[in-house]
Amino acid sequence: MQFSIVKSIEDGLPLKAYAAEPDAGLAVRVPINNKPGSESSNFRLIPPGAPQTMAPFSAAGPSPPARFIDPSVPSPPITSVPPSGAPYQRFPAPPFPSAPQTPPNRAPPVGQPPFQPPTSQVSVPPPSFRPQTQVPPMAMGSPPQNANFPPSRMNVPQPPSDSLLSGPRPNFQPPFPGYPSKQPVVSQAPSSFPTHQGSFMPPPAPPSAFPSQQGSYGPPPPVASNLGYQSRDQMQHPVSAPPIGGVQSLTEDFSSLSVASMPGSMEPGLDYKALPRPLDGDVMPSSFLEMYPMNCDPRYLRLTTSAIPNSQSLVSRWHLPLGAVVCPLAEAPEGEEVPVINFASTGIIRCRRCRTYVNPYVTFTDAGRKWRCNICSLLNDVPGEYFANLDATGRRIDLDQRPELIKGSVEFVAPTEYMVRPPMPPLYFFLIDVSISAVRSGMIEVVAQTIRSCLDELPGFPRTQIGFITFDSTIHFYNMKSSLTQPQMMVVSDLDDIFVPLPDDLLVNLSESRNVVETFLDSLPSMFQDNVNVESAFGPALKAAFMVMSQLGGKLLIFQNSLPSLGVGRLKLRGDDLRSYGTDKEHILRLPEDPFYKQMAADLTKYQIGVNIYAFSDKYTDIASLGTLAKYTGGQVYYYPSFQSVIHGEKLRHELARDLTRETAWEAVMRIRCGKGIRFTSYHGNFMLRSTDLLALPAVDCDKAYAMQLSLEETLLTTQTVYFQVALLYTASCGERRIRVHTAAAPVVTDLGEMYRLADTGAIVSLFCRLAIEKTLTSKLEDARNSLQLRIVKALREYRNLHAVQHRLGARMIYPESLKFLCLYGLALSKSVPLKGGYADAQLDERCAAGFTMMALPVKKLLKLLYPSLIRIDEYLLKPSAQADGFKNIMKRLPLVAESLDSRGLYVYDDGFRFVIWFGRMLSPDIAKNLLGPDFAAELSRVTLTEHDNEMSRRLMKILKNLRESDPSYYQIPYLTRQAKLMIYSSS
Amino acid sequence: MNVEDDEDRELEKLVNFSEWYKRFNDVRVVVKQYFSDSGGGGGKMAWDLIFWVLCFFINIALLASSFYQLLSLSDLEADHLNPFEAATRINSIVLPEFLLQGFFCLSFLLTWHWFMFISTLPITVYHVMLYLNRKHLLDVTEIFRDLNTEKKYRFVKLAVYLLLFTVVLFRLLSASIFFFFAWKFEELDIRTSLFY
Repeated sequence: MQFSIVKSIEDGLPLKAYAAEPDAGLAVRVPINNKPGSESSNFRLIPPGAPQTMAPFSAAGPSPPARFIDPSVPSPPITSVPPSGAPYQRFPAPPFPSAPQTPPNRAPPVGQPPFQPPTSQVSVPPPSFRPQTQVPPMAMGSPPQNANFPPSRMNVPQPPSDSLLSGPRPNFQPPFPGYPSKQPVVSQAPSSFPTHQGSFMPPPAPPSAFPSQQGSYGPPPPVASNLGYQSRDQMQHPVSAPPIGGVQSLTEDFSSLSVASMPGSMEPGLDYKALPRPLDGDVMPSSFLEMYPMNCDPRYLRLTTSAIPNSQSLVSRWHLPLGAVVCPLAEAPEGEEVPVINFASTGIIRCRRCRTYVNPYVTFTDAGRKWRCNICSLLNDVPGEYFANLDATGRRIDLDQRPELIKGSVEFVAPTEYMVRPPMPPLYFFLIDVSISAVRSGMIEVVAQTIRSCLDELPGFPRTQIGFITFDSTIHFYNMKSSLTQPQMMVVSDLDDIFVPLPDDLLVNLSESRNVVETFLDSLPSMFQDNVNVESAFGPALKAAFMVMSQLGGKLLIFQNSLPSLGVGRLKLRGDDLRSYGTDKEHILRLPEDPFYKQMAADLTKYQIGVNIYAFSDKYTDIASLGTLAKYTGGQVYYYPSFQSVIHGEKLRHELARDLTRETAWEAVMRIRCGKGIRFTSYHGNFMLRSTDLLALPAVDCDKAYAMQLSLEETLLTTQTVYFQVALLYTASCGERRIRVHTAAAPVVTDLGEMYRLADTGAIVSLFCRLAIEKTLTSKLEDARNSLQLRIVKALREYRNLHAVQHRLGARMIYPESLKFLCLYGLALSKSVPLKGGYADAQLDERCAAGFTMMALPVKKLLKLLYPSLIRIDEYLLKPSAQADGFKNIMKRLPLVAESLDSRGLYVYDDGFRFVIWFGRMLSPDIAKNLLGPDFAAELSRVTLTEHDNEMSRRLMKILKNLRESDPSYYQIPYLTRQAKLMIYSSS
Repeated sequence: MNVEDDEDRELEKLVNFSEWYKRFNDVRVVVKQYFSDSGGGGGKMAWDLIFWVLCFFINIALLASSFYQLLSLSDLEADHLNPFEAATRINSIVLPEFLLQGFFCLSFLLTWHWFMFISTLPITVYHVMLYLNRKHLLDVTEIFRDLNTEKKYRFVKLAVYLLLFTVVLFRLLSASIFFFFAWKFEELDIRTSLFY
């Protein structure tokens, strides 16, 4: 059954705004924008001189925050609560108030009236609280009507609330002194506060209820509380944002039915393991492949739902994105490589009309003399050389020798008609900032060493070309002619009128000039070690590089350590200007400041130059502007804030090496064709559109994915099946022009339920992610999150409407099996760096860099980033002889909830971009000593993890190595953190 | 005899003159009437004509630029033009168009053609707004995403220019009618007969 997960809406989705639009119920929002940090505000003690707003609750005594009301109420009180009070109480229940409302300045937490949390949770005008009770039609809001609910409601929030809410009370205060450091990160837009707060007052809950509740919760279990906090704190990770927050309460509500047997019990007896959590990572939809075994593997093409709606009206009821995520060059496991086919003299077989490539779904007729295109159903002639007889069932007899007719993914060798010029050689050009900050950070040295060590592995030997430009306030060109013994440096200081001092020899063939290049790279760090120039003529240098490369195209790697300050394209420190934050103009900061960057990006794409940006600065460098270059040239942005070669060197080394050595497709264009009646209308990712449906990708590799949305052109589709064909025309590093073709078929359905059944959460989340990030470029972060939530809620409501009647679900919310993680990922997404919180929750640069990265991430990596894995390793480390089997066992992902963390344990948290190694407070000191050496007692944030000469340390390193190898596209540096009294997971 | 002759001659001359002058006087009245009516000087009518001719050409230029931009966008959509070229083409004429349109609008203000001024004002304001927000040029990188809005915007502009064109054409015709007909056939002119 699709709705295996049944949940009571009432308890669950904390339904912030629901009352605002009672009729629609649209406003039900998963409190996705909750911020971990803001929780803490929930637990604030009531200040001694409580503000007047506190009055109604004063009966409750000074210390208990209003929030405890709900969870802590023992069952009798709550059932007795008048209906009007119930909704109010319910609101506080979800432990994770929405983020944006937390005041930025957390430092004096005690002074805050305790009421903020509940209010903040509800980011709707407060009056909505009461209306909620008046929302019977949607049942979501009207709790007390259903007798079954109170118990479950009681029950559900408990585990979290027990530990999370009441627990922290005792030890809440001490941690705060340490807290301020985190504050800026966590703080939120302040403005909404006062208003909410004030308006929150009107709906006064019956005060009488409070004392009792409070009493019941007086002595909370301290350990649990701590755990609760820590797990939450996890969410402060800029990237990870695990779903523990609202979604946890949400997912826990799923199981409300099963737990209902022990209503009112105070034990946190909920088995959190039973709740749906994506612990297997990304599960690719298999039904798709089973239905159409000749489809390409989902790693290349994933549809948000494998059932294509047949009518406009059906599309309008499908509130999730309808589209596809394409990763044309995804790495295939051993033995599943895409077959390369050379038609040679025949020429590539394509449909005359729609230019579709021959694929497994074409049908041969007329005794094999004709074939019918599956996309436009035109009858084409089969060329003489390609002719084969048909057998009795109408299949070609040579089918097993024709991979293009049995496999969904093939690669054709393209003849000369597919070239506008001879295939270009792989070309790497480096633009390196050598100003003082670059020298000081040690970046130049790491870069030079890494490039040198990769020279052998650069793809395309012996045609590979290479070139360098360095710049500070002047631009330095290097003549690397093979006849020279060492490179000649030429300095151009006229920034207004850039010229290239030499026509050739700035870009040389690597195999011919190998010695010169090596000499150059060896001497590069020392050449500038005394440079004291602080300026950066980035724009002119970029133009110079463009001039050098424009003949051939290729890949331009830019290493930038400071804000461009000279010549064209210089940028202002606009990110440091606090005035524009929090206003309607805030989004402008996330867009390139100077049109130069967009223009330059367009020119670079035109000349087949792909840009990768490596940014290192500890100060504001306007990644929004710099990243634009990567965005429109199909590149990516690597951001190492406050780069120190000691700490981040390894990461840079690995990622740069990966960038240089991974298989790259050059001067590529990609197009996705689909059957009649549907059309791809919008494309999302890092690329530039060359025409309405042609993606220009100067350099593309396996780590890039592109998303697209489709729409129906006709009101009614009459076909049974729709076919999609992705074609990527590119130049391989070996100099061959190739076309990679992925074909997939999907059924056309008339039923919305079927669409839900075949939905693919990963692809949906990926599209949502891109849409939301794009939205942050034109509107506020909050709007982006809200629209995301709204769509999820709409979709689930639609699904509920679909089944509510026949299953008499009453007030419950149901989820299709295929989308059981959607809410969780939605929450995680709105806590991800590009979207989370208010302006102060992440550095602008960090936000932009993460945005550029996430716009290109393949589905699997994105999901891992959104729901990182947590692994307990201390037992494995202690085991006397841990062999391979033991290793397999420990690689078990734990749910990201407080209960997963044991203070006696050692955990590794891995989001694909970094590790957090978490030392429990009660972890045996032996382990710490063995792993950290003499530093084990020191402040962990200052300790770097190195291998020590003992078995345990070696094992840990092996674990980390294995984790890294499972996905080599990024390198995770370990951040160490110790369980604090309160939390603080890591302070990276 | 001589004297009389002389006097007669003089008298005759006087009569002739007054006869001749009478005609002249009529014209003066007509001219005076005409000018006092439309509140200008003798050159005004000519200036009026020149002004409307100028407006006519400006308007044609604006129409042409709008049309050209639309054409380029349609070409782009139909893949007959790549985005780089389309953007360069369009962006190169955006500013001249803005300036021309600004001049067009301003000239109406300076010549106290209130109706025309008000009807051109919205576009001018919109142009200024675009320019101040730096949104007047097409963004090559996002050109396809903006294609529909850009087309719509130019369609609207084209329609407005067409409307203006009809008005300008009408004013031009009336100005030229006055200019030519008032002098050559003053007798036929309604106004001349009216003021006799």
